[in-house]
Amino acid sequence: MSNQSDLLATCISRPEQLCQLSLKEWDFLIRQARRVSLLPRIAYLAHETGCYQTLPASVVMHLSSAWRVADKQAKVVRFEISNIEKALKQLKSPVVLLKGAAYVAADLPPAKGRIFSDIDFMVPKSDLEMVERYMIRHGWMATHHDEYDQRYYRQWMHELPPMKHTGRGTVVDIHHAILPETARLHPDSEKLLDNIQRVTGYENIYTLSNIDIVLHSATHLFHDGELENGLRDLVDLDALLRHFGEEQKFWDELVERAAELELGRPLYYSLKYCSLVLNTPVPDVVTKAAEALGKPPAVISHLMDTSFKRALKPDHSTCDDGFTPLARWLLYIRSHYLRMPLYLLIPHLLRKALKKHKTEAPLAAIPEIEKP
Amino acid sequence: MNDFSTQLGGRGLYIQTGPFCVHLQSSIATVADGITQLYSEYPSFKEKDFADFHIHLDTVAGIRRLIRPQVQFSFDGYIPFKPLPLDQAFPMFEWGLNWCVANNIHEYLIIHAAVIEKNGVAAILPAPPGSGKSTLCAALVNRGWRLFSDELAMFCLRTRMLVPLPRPVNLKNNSINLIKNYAPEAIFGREVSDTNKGTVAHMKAPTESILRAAEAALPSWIIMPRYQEGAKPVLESRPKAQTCMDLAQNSFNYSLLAEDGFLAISELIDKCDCYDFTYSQLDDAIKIFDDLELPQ
Amino acid sequence: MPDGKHWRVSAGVGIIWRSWDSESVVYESFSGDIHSFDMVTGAVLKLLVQHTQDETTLVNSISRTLEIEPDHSLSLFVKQSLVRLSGLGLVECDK
Repeated sequence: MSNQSDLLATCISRPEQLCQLSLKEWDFLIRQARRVSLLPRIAYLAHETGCYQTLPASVVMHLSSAWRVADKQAKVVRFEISNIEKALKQLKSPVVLLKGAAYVAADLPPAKGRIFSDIDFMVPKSDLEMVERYMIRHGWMATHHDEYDQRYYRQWMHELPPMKHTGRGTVVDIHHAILPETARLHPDSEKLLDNIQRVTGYENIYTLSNIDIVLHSATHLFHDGELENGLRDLVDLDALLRHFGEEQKFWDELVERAAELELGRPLYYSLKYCSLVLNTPVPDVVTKAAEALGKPPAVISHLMDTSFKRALKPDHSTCDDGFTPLARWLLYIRSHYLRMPLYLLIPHLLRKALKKHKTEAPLAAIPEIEKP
Repeated sequence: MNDFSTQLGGRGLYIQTGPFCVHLQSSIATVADGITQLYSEYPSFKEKDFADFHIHLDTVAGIRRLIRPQVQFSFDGYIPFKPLPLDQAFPMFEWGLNWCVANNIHEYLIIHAAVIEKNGVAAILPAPPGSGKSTLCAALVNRGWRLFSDELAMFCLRTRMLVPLPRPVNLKNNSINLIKNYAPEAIFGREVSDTNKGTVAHMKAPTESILRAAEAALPSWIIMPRYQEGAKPVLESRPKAQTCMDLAQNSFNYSLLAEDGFLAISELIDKCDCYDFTYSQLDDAIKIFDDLELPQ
Repeated sequence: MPDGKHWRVSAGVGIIWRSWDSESVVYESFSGDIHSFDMVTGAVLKLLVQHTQDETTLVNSISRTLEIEPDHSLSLFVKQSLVRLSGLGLVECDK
């Protein structure tokens, strides 16, 4: 097996490798995968390759345990989607699931063995207040009571402060756009809503169009997020590209749609790093067109390359080199820089840094365990 | 005595406890002492290709450590808890390991309960804190019952058997001296005071429990113990439906296991006789446990 | 009083039963919730799993299965059971 820090990416792009790992390599792989929420995905891939039964018992114990977590989460997501549909039954406009919730509802390949933290959906901005009222009526409550946080979300972000169900504890993020109002790119939400598709089995639950699902995932990873789940998100993208890419029509329209939504840069990065890290097959002509549309100037391109290559590895001691912490910090600053102008950014990050000390290390929710 | 402290402070020690191999690294003296006192009979290794849990216990860096030294528990780089005073390093290892098992292992239905065994059949003692579950468990395992666990009942979803995880028994406050007097031959780790549970000490698992850690048992009784000062020992039959709800409530991963979790719990209820047990004297309790009849 | 409304098990609900003595424990697979029911409530749910029916029919069926008089207090029990079951999202009625 190649370099230890590439172990996880190698096994995801070539799952047949899983059948030949030594016990020591499994030790590394399980630890790296657990750190970046990809352990259930590895369990799924091991199952698909058919070698699951031949794996050592201790490996199987961790893989099946992780698989059960993902399986339960998918159940919870399906249950909550149906609760959201009930809560918003009087809404005239469509409810559009985003990210993980969309993958589960539409049964797309990234849903297999995926870990969730919340459920995201989008509604037209004009209906946002009404949606919030309906959700409150059905037991969801705003989570950020701090006045600054409330203002931060409502004024500058593309979503309401996350809402949590008082009984079940599930968290939903309600968006009206896929990027903040203050962000440097402005994909038009109306254009996104024009192309949505209804999910089978629901009255008023939709997903974005196939191409827009990919562009949103790309935008989330390379323009919006802090890359804390970088590799997991790249695995989503890879699975989407492989799945939708079976149809030529998808590739024919992808770059043009990115141009229309001003999302050339994230698309360029996505295609580049998917094929680099996970060997995602992308037609040459599409790679070239995405480059023409979204490749940054050489200096930036080089710095981003150095940073992304590290940040897309598991954040685990077996994968770090001397530049990794700086790379992660640069990308953290970048993600916020892309979200809002500097005069808003600096006070915001300062505030975040100060607050962090107050609420460190949340205890995982486990009832009654002997915990310190 | 042995080289645990060098090994723990260096590449770490691999300890086999029940079905799990724990890789522990720590330069803290009280951790090495605790491991030496309480874990010397477990299979341990200097090198292993695979461990289920990679755990570090380290002092917290920074200026504060000069005034008030603290210990931090790390599960392979992930920090699930806030640091504790350095003195609590060994109890933190035990609590943290429970957390690792309950959060990551779902091939078992895991219930917050003590489990003890005799003649191949086991009793599950689920109970809220303060019910005297650990005290009763410590007494029973010093009078011929085999220790499975004082905290985590593990019902294997594959074999449908209870599986031992024999680790030191965590005793608190008055229970420490009570058991020290009741079983003078029992080996205890250091007492640590001022934890958020008061004073705690760990009692070494009896040697036989450690040696037979691979032997599973069939579940036969579910007994909810309740210590009540001055009370006569009373063993009363308990409604099964209610016991089913209580087990679900006391399980760490029942909800995560979904249908499989429910089927496992209802199988336990089907197979076991369910009781409420009130007691004040440990000898009375031993007598009643020794006289338990097998379910029909 | 019974008003002819039809009750049924809510859409998406999947139920696994266990009964011990006179009590039932029910696992509902869509929500993952577990509930413990007394004899009448358990019987109401069991009947609704079999087929949709109105309150009067329910009272009569229960009177037959549990061998209790179909009197006013049984109707009241059934009504309370339906309130509890619909509160838990397990059953619903046509508007």
